[in-house]
Amino acid sequence: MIVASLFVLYLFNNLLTATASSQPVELGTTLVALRYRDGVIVGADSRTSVGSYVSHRAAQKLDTIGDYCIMARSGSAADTQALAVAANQHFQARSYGGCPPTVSQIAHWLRQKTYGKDKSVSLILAGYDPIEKRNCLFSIAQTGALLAHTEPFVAAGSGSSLIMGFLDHACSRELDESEAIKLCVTALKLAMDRDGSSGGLCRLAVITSEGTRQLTFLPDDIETTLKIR
Amino acid sequence: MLPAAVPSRQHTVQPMVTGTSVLGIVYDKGVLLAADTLLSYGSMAKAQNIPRLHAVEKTVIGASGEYSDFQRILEILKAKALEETTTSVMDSLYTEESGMTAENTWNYLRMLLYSRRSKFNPFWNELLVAGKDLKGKPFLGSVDKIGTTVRDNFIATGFGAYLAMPLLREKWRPDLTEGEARALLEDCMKILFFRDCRASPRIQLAKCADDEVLVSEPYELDTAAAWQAEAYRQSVGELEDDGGW
Repeated sequence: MIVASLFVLYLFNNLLTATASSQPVELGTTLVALRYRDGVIVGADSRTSVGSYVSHRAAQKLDTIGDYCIMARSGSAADTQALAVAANQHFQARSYGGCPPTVSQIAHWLRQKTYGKDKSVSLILAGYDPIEKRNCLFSIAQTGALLAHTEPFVAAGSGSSLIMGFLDHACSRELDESEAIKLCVTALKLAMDRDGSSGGLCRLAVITSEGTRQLTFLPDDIETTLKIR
Repeated sequence: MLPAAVPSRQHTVQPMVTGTSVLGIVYDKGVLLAADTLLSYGSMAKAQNIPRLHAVEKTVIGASGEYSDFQRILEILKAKALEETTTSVMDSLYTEESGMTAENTWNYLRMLLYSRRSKFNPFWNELLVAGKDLKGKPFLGSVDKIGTTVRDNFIATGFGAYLAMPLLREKWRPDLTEGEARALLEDCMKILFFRDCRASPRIQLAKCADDEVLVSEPYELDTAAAWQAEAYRQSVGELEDDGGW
């Protein structure tokens, strides 16, 4: 009886005294990548959280590696940022020989950097392979498992489980670019509505044989693109 | 051989279905409360149109924390209110003519929450109580899960205590009009939506002024304007130095 109430006291105390130092900076996140007729679209929300606090409400979770590959980051902000910097440096050096890296090479290299390491990292790699002339979707899970996806979509991050059913239903046929953009933003909006760790803006990247374009949307306002580059 | 001891009573000490901040402010003619209408289940937004401000007689109670505990508290208060209507003045629990005011309710809640905490089975809530005090002046007070009471001109629970209180302290004046008080609360609720993972832009207001108690229907805040800064909308590589992590 005394042990039970001491235990209850311990739980009570811990719940009352959680501090910011014990909570890492996390990319709570929803990441979505879709194939469409002309290429691949990757989308991410823009919320970085420390526990229940939103430390950055306009974060950028999509990083370009080379001209044809986008790395979408979720998990620990620090770990994934370090990986993005390392990947950019490494593949920039490799491309000086005149041979740009393929998405598959980038994905395999990243797996080597994450498997077996004590890092909290979950990534989507999406892009266009200029040598084999096809779209690629890869993901690296928390444990370091590398998956090459042949299905039309991938989703990752804490908000992804909430929209898997929706994406299964919505990706039943091939889409053109504006349909794919609308679908990506809708999926992100649905996840952001229900997942407390996702929110803010929808940042998208469109990758085709011509290269990469980046767009930003307010989740409620697909008609008005905030920025096109 | 004696059988192994089994705990005779189980206590829930983890909140499951929770509401986030509630804000309150006293203005020239009364008290205004604001809260969003979101119920969270951990990090998931479980229900998005749930009122967390309730009127009981001439008092409005707002709760953050575990929703089931709030429902139980409302049940208890409604039973007390009913008891008052069926009791003669001589047998009433309240010695003043004003009967069940907000100040009385606040004191009663203090006793309720403190006694539950003393048994290691707290009502996992932070409550705001708004209405009139025993002298008929506007009243705003809070009671937390361990029975702490505070009476002040502006109070915020949960994340609001960190994010909204500095703004309320800066802008409060004793002669605030209702429109100014409402604008201030809405501004605070917008900031909470941006910076609290468990907040939503769908909010509800409640007013206790003169002799009326009004609880509004939920409505959405307009948050689009806060995303217009160029720095938010630029993509990677366009910002100097770090690329805008």
